[in-house]
Amino acid sequence: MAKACDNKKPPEVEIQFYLNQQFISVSNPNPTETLLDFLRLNLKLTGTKEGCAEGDCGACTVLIGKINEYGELVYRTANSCIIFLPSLAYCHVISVEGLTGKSGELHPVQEAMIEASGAQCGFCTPGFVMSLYGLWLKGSKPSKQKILDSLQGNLCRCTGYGPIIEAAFKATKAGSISRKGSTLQQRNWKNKLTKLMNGKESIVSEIPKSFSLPRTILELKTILSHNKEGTIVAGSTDIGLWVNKSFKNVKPMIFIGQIDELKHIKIQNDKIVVGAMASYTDLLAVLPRYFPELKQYINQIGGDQIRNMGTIGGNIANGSPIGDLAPILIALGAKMALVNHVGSRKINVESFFQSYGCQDLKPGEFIRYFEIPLKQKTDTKFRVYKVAKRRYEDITTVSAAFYFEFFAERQPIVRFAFGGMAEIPKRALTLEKVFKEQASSLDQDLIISKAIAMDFSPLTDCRGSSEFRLKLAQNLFKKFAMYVNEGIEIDIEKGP
Amino acid sequence: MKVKKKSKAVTSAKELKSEKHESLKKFVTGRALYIDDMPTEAETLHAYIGKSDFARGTISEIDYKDVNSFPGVIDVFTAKDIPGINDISPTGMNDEPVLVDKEVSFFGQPLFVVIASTRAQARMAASLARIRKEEKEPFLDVSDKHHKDYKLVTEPLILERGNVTEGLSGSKNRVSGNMHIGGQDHFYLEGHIAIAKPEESGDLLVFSSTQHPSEVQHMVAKVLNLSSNQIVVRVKRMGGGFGGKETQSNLFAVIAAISTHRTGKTVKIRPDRDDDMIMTGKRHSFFVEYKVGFNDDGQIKALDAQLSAKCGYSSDLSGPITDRALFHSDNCYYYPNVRLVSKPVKTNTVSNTAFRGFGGPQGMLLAERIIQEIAFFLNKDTLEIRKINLYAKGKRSITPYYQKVTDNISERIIDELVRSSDYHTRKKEIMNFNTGSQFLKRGIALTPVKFGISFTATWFNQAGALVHVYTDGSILVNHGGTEMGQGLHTKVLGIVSSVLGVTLDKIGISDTDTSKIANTSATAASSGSDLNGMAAFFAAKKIRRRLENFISKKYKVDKKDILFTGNSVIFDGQEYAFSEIVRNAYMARVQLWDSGFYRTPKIHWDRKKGKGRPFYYFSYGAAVSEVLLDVLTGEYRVKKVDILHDVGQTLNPTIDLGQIEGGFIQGMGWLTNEELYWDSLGILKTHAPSTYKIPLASDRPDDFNVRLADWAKNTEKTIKRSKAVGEPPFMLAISVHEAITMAVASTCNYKINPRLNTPATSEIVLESIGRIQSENLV
Repeated sequence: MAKACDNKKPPEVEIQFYLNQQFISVSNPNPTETLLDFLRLNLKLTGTKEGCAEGDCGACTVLIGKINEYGELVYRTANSCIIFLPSLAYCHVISVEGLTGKSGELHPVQEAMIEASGAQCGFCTPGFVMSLYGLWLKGSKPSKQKILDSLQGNLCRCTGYGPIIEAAFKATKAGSISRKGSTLQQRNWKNKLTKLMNGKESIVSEIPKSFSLPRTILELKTILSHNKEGTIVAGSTDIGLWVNKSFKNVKPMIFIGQIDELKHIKIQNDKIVVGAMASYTDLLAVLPRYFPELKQYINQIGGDQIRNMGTIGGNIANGSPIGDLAPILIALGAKMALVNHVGSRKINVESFFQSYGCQDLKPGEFIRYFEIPLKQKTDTKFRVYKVAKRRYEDITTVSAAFYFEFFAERQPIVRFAFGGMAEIPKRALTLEKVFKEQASSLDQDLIISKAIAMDFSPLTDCRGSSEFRLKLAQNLFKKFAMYVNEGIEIDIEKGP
Repeated sequence: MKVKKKSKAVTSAKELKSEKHESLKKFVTGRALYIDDMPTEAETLHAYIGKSDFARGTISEIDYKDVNSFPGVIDVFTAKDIPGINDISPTGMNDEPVLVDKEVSFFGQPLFVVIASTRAQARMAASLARIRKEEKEPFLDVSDKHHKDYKLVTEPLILERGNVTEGLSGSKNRVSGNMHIGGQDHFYLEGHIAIAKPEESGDLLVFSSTQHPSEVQHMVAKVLNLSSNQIVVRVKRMGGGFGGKETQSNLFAVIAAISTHRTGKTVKIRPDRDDDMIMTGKRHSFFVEYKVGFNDDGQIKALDAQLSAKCGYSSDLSGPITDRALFHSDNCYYYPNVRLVSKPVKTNTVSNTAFRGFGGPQGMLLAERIIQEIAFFLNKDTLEIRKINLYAKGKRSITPYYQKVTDNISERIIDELVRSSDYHTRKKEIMNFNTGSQFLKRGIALTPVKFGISFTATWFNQAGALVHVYTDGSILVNHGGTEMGQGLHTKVLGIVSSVLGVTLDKIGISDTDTSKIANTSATAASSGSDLNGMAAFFAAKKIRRRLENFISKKYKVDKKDILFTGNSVIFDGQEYAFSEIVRNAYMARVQLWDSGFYRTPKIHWDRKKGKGRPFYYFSYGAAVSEVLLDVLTGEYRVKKVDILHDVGQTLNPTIDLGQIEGGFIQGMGWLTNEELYWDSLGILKTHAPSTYKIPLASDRPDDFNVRLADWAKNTEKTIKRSKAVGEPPFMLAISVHEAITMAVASTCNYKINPRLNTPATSEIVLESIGRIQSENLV
């Protein structure tokens, strides 16, 4: 190409991290190169497998150790098929190859998998081993539920899972001594990563002008002001698919994983302030204390890996009509802070969603945090439901969040929000009205179904027909009404 | 107490000492090599398929400008560039082109191939062709009565015995109905893949993730116009197959081979998961229509049924699959008068193919639906109807295809399971519960399985094996079967180990390789260990006989007094190392390697007459499943499952239990969550794990007890009197479907059969509840 070129060599950009025991430095990486491809194609580490390249099967599971916003080194499972190299800066990645000792001795989770015959064709096995390793690191004797939760992001088509669950029990009962050893190791790794990170400038890649890795909100504002068309990458659980499956051009990419300020979850008086980069796993650690009903719901979103990677900000920003957390935030009356280099504004989460694919996000703007008001009264009625084709790790067919706060002296607060019922997550205003007016008609079912039909005309797609969605919305409300009126909860998890 | 029971089942398996899967250590360390893990030359090229983006119509032009100019693209080829015959139909029907350039018959049909330096380049470039086309309305729905012009992909089968018309008219009670049975994607975790390497003078070495290396060999030869002896196909292992790699590997292998032929370079092809699911066949969905006549105690007098299968655009294996559906439309039940007709319908969808059970599960669902119809009609327990219709001795032992059921143990299996699962008490308790519970309902059901073992294409029931004993006493085994996780290699190693008294650490097994064993059959039809195990047994036995002869001559001992055990040979009160005996035998010029060949005896089948003995024997089993249903959302949980299954004398209890549990869960997926969804244009919308949901660990029944019927013995002389285990347990999951049916039926007090279609998604369940409740009001 006949382009006048100055001889000034553009500065090299390095992404540095540790892989198992090895220090890795990648110069000017292609920011859409995935960790999985890097492992398999560049390093020829083929233990980590590609099953789907969309974060749904778990065959590519690795552990990622990262120093979190509180200065602790935390290891979490992740799907390497949808992690881009820049996300790994200053991390410690552990792949299945890193689990076996120097002289070939097996890790307790590997021993347990052999002992229990937890593999048949073996292709999903390294992924399961890594998920089990993630569980093992968390501490001994997890409940069966904890084990199942930690395996939700891994598919096996051969075993029927029994032997793998058995291996989980075996491995987490054993090995408490070696785990102490691993604490020491972790301290060691924490020092290494701190050393790696300290004194480093934020990374801004000039050539190709393709990605940046700001460390502060201020830097993010500046970068966005120059790159208004840039794609903000948080957990990449969605953008990973844009790249892997839709061949979408997402450059320049702005990786916000290094901005600690965006990750805090704080309680401030009567509200919870959640940074946009807080992951589902982070949310699970805090939100259920104030809203116990969210524990089950959030556990139904993605598998363990996706919950570790996916963020509240990413979930809302991508404007999915289902919007896993959106109906909840809307029903809770949450607000969100939107920021750019000139200022900031606060809007209701509800008004963020304008129409399909269209959100109230101006060029150069990003989500900084969410404010979730705490319940004003202890007898507030709040329930959330998610129905999908498969109960766990599946995209929602219909989700619903019902919030009802009764006041003797003034109008009650009623917010019923649904996902999967319209082109955006949306409140059922007619249904709310009917509920407020306490319609005590003879034919409740008919009134409810009419109200919902006025509020929504859902689509038919592979997750369910329009009629099914309407019926579900109606019946989920019925569940809530039964809970409010009679204190009855219908839940197959809890059983009869 | 629950836990106790479970651990008991596990211990009972362990008591029968068994070897674990031979590759376990490699699996857990990530060191097991799959084809994509194999090191290849740096200059390896990558092929990718350009596919149709519509279901039916004619291509007027394809513009390859953007494809050709994409960085890294080396070559693009189309149908006209295929050197040999453009067909990979596995049954010689000539209806399955590798690539098409004019008439498109399904969404995702391969049109052209891009070869590039990297996979990413080839894949991206393959998406850039501009296709000009005239679309036509696709045929999609086999139950659509308006389409009279549906074609069949192959000759239907009719099984007829007795007089159905008279049987029906002479029956006190008659019910007719229909059922939609969904298909299923295999979702092997390792997708399709092939590597072709150039060898001298145009010969090729092909690595293919296939259950049928010999067929891949023949197909590659055919499309390249070479002879079979120029092609070697090797398979170390697959990351799951389930039937999805019986014929579907052909496409990828021949494309890799043509690409290598054109470029002279090693070429790899690995479709993305979505493309794999779009371009390869699945389990057939069926539409079944039936009319059954029965007397007041529920005994069946006559059954008339038609089984229409959605075959896709070509025949593939649809003929034998629909045949097997008919062969299993009786399950364990005797039909005095019967007519079963298959209708293998051509549709504008990907050509459906083999999948664990091979039509059997769909046929068996019909049998169990018939039982349910009778039970609801007479207001009796389905178990009672089942028992009264079981095959028995004499006249009541004849199947619709005239084979006699002589090894029937279904009654004993059912009775033992009824006792061990406490079926009757639980059923009573569940009915009581349902009376008092409006929104949560429980359901329980026991369903049996009888599955015919043998390829119905009789000639496939043959196998070969090679056993090499080396002078250091180590052994290398090779046989015609492929390993896909089912533990075939482990079983074969166990057999050789016991014949020669050598421990497993001294026995290796090499890749399945068409240059070692010729003309192998697909590793399919549950037959892997029956066939290859016996062949390996014969090979090892020949070597052992020679060693015995040698010892008996040299050491003057009676052959009967020579013991081969624990890497030793013991005779005359002396213990010799196996390696020492072997070395001595070698010095005496004794042949220390040999082949074994096995063909299944007694079987024969005349398809035209619908008569014969297609199956060497039957495998049996039964399961009791209990579910809890949320009437408001249609969601349910499988709470408890008890299985009693017959594998004859087990070759390896760990492997067999693994097959039973895994097969059951896979069957449960088929009947519950796994829904394939095509839109009205014939576009498959469920082509990735994000939209196609196989069971998760969380879906496993809370309480899951599996026991082997350890008293069972194969009445036929199979290897160590064992029975095949791959497919039969899949159908035990029909009990889950019936348990859901029962929970749904409880919403109208069991007065109406909900006639639950499959898969019984929450949507189907909720729809059924609505339907029977409004029927009940009428």
